[in-house]
Amino acid sequence: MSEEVGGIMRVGIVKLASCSGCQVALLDTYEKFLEIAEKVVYAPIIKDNRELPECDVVLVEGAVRTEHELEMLKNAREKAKTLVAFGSCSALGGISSMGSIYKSEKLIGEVYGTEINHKLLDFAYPIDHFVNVDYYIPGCPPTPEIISRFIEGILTGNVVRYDYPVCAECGRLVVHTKIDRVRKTELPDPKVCLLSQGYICLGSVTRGGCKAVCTKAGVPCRGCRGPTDKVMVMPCKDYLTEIHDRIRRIAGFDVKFEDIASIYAFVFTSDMMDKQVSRIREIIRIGRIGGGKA
Amino acid sequence: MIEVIIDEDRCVKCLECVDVCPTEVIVNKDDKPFVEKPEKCIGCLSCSYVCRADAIYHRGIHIEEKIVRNVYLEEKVKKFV
Repeated sequence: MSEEVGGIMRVGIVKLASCSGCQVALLDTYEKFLEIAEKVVYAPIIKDNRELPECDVVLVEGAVRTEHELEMLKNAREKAKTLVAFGSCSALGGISSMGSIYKSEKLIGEVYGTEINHKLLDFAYPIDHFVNVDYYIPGCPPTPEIISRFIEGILTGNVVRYDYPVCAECGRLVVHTKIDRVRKTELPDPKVCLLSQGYICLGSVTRGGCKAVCTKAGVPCRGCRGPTDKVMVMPCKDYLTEIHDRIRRIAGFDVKFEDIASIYAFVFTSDMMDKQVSRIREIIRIGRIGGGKA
Repeated sequence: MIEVIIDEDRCVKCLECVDVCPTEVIVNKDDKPFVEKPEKCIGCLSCSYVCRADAIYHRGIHIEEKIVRNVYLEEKVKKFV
């Protein structure tokens, strides 16, 4: 691969509070990764470097949980021409942000028993809370297809966006039914929409591009790719209102908030979902005062 | 004149657009949404608002630009891949 394509010569990968799954997904792109493999100059999971050099593209994986990670992030922003939020944790808060429903002291006490050297921030923030971000690749992890199309796009200067929801790729047909409860454990019908059958599926509010692998296999969508453009921009649209409304129209029953409280799992600290109609703040407040389950 | 276009590939046949259309432009035909009288469309965009698969588009409409209320979010959304 010649170095002058797109002018990109140096790629760095910075890991913050995360599970490294996104870096493994990057390695899963096989021949696409080989295109940029020579250009990777800093990646803790692949290479043995100490310092992040000046880079053209830096992929940041993970949310910002400690003050040390905040310094790493600011350093990455200084060294990078293009900063990419890689994975749901850095783009939206992700699974790491679920810790935000408990107090920091309670978390440390639960895990370590005593105080630790690193000072925790009050929440696990997505990286755009502190620095400017040029691209976001949400997903837990983003599928190898999404990553390889992004690499292709950034090498040629034409990044393709996925602006449609998971429903557009799923192919299950909606049937209007009458159900009286939320289903969780039974096996679903393979051809019928999961919402029609009473499962809490977030496909209609989640960004597509994943080829709907979960719903095609009969597993309800958990929303790992984050909200769609519509949900992000419209001030009165929220996960809770949308899902509640659709279930009432399609399956004919009102779900309780307790049944669908976990729908915010990937977006707890994202400012995209900080809306009047959202109940994220309430969940965080209940978690902090009572210390119980959200 | 406003055109209403339904993307057949994306449509999941939930018929929410039929329920929500105030002027009955979109009707239920063989359990599929069908644009019957596009000249009656008043451009309320309710159908594309409720569409879960983003399958409904409008042409010849100028309101869409003005709906955006949060410029910061609108800029940020374009960066999501």
